[in-house]
Amino acid sequence: MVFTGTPQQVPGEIPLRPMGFPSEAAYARFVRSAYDELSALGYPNALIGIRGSAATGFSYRTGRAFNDSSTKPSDIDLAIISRDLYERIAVIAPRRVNSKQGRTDPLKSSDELTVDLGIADIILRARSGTGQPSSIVVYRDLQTFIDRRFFVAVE
Amino acid sequence: MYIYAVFVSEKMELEDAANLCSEALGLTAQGGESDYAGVHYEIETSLDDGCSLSSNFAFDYEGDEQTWYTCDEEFSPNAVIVHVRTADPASRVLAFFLDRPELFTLRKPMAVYRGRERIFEGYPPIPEAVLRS
Repeated sequence: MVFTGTPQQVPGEIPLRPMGFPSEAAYARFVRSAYDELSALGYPNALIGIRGSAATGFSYRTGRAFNDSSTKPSDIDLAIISRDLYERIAVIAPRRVNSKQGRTDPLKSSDELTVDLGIADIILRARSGTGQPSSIVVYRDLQTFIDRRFFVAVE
Repeated sequence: MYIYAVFVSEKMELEDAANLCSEALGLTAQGGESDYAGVHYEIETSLDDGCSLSSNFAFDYEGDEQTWYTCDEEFSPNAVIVHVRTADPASRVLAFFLDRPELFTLRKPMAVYRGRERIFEGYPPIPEAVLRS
């Protein structure tokens, strides 16, 4: 299943490749390993997403293209949509969630919270697989994620 | 084993803090730009020893309108937040921040992890027994 700004279902394949991933195969490997890891952590219903310029090709905020050579390297802005994971963060690190907005702060692999949660390796693999910096925001539910727009979500 | 520490500075701008650390350690401050949180910097000796510096705010959207919010509400949005992650107890990166309490203060106790297990939490120095375990 693939969602873009307008949700669209494409069963059985991963046809959209966000910027930064060198090949379809590399992107598919990253996605599958991330889902495997989330399942092993006890979040089998979690959804992975990618937001921002890696998903759309340009930054909605700055208007610049992904990895515009005149600017700093663009991040792979990852998202995990999982009520269970979001609620776990709300318990162990309540300062890191915004319950009104239904999402966490951006989390980096250097943040010990990602180790507590077991998701640091997902960030590190996005970085090693693309050569781009990376961080994750955890969203409470799919609608909250969709409401922020400018994303790709894959299953 | 990895050591994690979070520092906050309200005395410096993000770019100045990155430059100070970079010049003192002779390491490149690799900038990055996230649609989540704007500009940030990574300073590393290796993948197992380094830090990230970012501002204390992140971006959000309400419909097409861009908004922003303060991540750690105990500090100003322009505060610099530093996350250190190192496998080296003698890390120059970690020492840089610990040695400058007038500029960078620990936000909370440091933590030591073996895998996903937290084996120590507290303020420095980290006990030798923890580092040798």
